[in-house]
Formats: sequence, structure tokens, C-alpha cells
Amino acid sequence: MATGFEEAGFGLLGVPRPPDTTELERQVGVLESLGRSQASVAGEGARAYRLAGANTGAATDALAEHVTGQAGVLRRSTAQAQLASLGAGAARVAWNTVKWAGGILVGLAGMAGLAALTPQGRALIRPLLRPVAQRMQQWLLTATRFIGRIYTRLAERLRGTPAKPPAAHQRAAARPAAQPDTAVRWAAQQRAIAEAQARDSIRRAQSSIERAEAGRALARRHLGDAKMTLEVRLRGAYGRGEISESERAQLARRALADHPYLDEWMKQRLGQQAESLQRIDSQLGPVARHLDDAGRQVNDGLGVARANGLDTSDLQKLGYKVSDLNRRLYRLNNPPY
Amino acid sequence: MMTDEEITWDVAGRESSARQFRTLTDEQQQAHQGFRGQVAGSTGPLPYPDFAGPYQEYLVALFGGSAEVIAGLGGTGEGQALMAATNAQAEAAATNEVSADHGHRV
Repeated sequence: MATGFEEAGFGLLGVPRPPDTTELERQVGVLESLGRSQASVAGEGARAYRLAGANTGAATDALAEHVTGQAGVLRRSTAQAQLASLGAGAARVAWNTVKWAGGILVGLAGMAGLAALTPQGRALIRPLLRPVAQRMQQWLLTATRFIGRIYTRLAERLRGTPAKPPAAHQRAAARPAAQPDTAVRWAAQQRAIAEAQARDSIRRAQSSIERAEAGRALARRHLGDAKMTLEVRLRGAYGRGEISESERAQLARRALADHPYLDEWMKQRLGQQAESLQRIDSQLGPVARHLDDAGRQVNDGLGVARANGLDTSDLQKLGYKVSDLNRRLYRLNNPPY
Repeated sequence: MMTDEEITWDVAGRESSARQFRTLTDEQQQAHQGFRGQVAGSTGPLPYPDFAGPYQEYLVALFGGSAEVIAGLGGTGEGQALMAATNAQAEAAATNEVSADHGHRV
């Protein structure tokens, strides 16, 4: 078994197994979309601000400074977006580095494991394989420290202040006291595995559900905004005598998608909103399966835990979470309107 | 409405602007919480302390910054709404005065 060779090999080489990089890869994605989201604020904010563009005067000037000035909120948002995408780039570099150097370490460990099978091979481990592995491990530490320093710099720029002394990282993992009874230890492991699997299934389901809920709410808001803008504009046009009462009533009934009293970008956004709603709905498909998985995993964990007199409170909380998500999914599939 | 001191009021524009800013604020608030939820609670993507410490610090600063931007957006929406309301009141008062002078209601 290949992993058996590697496991033994890491011991022979005196280096730890390199970390799993999937979490890092996930966070690269999160930072990238965060940067994109914040970059959109500048454009959207400028457009929202322009709606009040006919106003002039001292108070208007003061507000303009607050919004579009040097230290204004839109410029700030652009800077944030930039620092988020720089952070995403650095995380991507770290991901590539650890994947690459880690892959080499896994290869070296496999080789060491194989070499240990023969006396000739064993003679090669210390002079040949060990120094390379140790150097690679050192390099991994140096590279990630270097990227860490970049993050310190980015954090300074985000805060707009010089660096504060790095806080001592307390990652004193609270290790549970060793259980002497192997059956109980095995049960605890099974419970932990079930719990971790359930958490993962819940996280997947939850993020889809939250996206769908937020998307629906946003679509309603955009529609409301367009209707309100239209009403205000028709009221104004009628007040100024530009349109008659019957024209106003007729215009109020017209479809929003090609309404002459709405800006092009508002109409465009309504269209985009409809498309993204369809996309979100099509992603709701696998959610029910994730929730079924989560429910089963919680029950498995509860069964093992109860049979061995272990604590069940965390699993029970996960169970509540699953039923809450099931309720929300039902709401999304059967909207009240 | 134009006044003598080169001040222009456009109440309708302000109301629309205020509403758009409120939507933008809520939208960003939602996105912000979503993103924070996606990285919060994770033990950190890499176990190396020289990376993990600064990276967490960066995330804290990043989310602190977006919270401030969101507060700024919210403040702008409130400012537009407040100015729209004040202008509308003043406009109504002026209209009433003019109508009173002419002896009929609008």
C-alpha cells in the first residue's frame, strides 16, 4: 500500500506530512469573490449617487465629498477591493507552493519507505534522501513565512496604520485526556467522524440555501426600487404638468423591462436579476441530498455516542440545524406568494 | 425647485438615490456576512504559525474595512433621505405660502 510506504517514510526522513491544501484553495475562491463584490460597490454607488445629481448647494457638496472625495466611501471601497484581490493572489501563490513542495515531500517519503525494505536502500536514506527532504521542509517554512510577511503588510494597509506587534498565536489545541478504554476511544472517533461529515454536509446545504434566500430577497428589493423610482418620477412629471392623469395611469401600468421612465442600467439589472434567480434555483437541486446525508450522519453519531455513554450535545445541535435547514428549503421550494 | 442662493432641490432624485444606497448597503452587508461566514470558524488554511498568524490578522483587517465601507454607504443613504425629507418640507411650506398669497389651494 502506497500510503503505508509514505507513512513510514516521513518518520525515516524526520519531516512532517505536508498539510492538506483544499481549505486554502477554498479560501482563495472566497477572497477572489469578495474582491469582485467590493469592486462593484464603486460603480453601483456612483450610479446611486448620480440619481440625486440634479441637486446643488453647500449641503450637497459636503455629501459629495463624503461619497466621491479623496477619503470618500467609494474610493475606500475600491482600495478594499484591491487589497482583497492582492490577498487572494498571495493565497494562490501559497497554495501552489505548498502543493508543489508538499508533493515532492510525499514523493521522497514514498522513496524512503521503499528504500527501507532492503539493506542497500536503507544505506541511502540518511546521506541521500534525508538532506533533500529536510531542505525541502525548510524551504516550505521559509516560503510560507515570506507570504505571511506579505499578509502583515496588507493588513497594515487595510488598517491604514503601522504594524502592531504580532500577537502570540495561541493555538494550544485542547487535547482531550487520553481515554484508557479502547472501545470508548473507538466510539469517540466514530462520533467525531460522523460529526465532521455532518458538518460538511450542513455547510454545503447551508451555503446554497443562504445564497438562494439572499438572491430572492435581493430580487424583491431591486424590483421594489425600480417601482419606487418609477412612481416618484411619474409623480414629478405629473406635478410639472408634463403628462396628464390618464397618461400617468397608463405609464404606471407599463412593463418595467422597457419603461421609458427608467434608466437603461436599472432595466438591465432587473434582467440580470431574473437570470441569476434562475441560476440559483437550479443549484437548489442537490441540497435535499446534502440534508439527507447530514441527517443520517447525525443519527449514526448519536447512535454510537448513546451506546457508549458519550456526550451528545454537539450532535443534537447539528440535528436542530438540519431540521432548520429543511424548513428553509421547503420555504424556498414553496414560496408563500 | 430653484432658489436665490443657487441651491437646486430635486427631492425625487434624492429619494431614489437614498433608496438605491439602502439597497446597496443591505446587499453588501449580506455579502460581507456571507464571506465572513465562509472563512470564520475554520482553523486556518495552513498550520504554519508564521503564515497562519498574519493571515488571520489580514482577514480581521479586511472584514473590519468592509464593515466600515458598509457603514459609510448606509450613512450616505440616510443623508440623502434626510436631505430629501428636509427639502420636501421646505418646498411644501413655500408652496403653501404662495397659495395663501393667491388665495387658493393647490
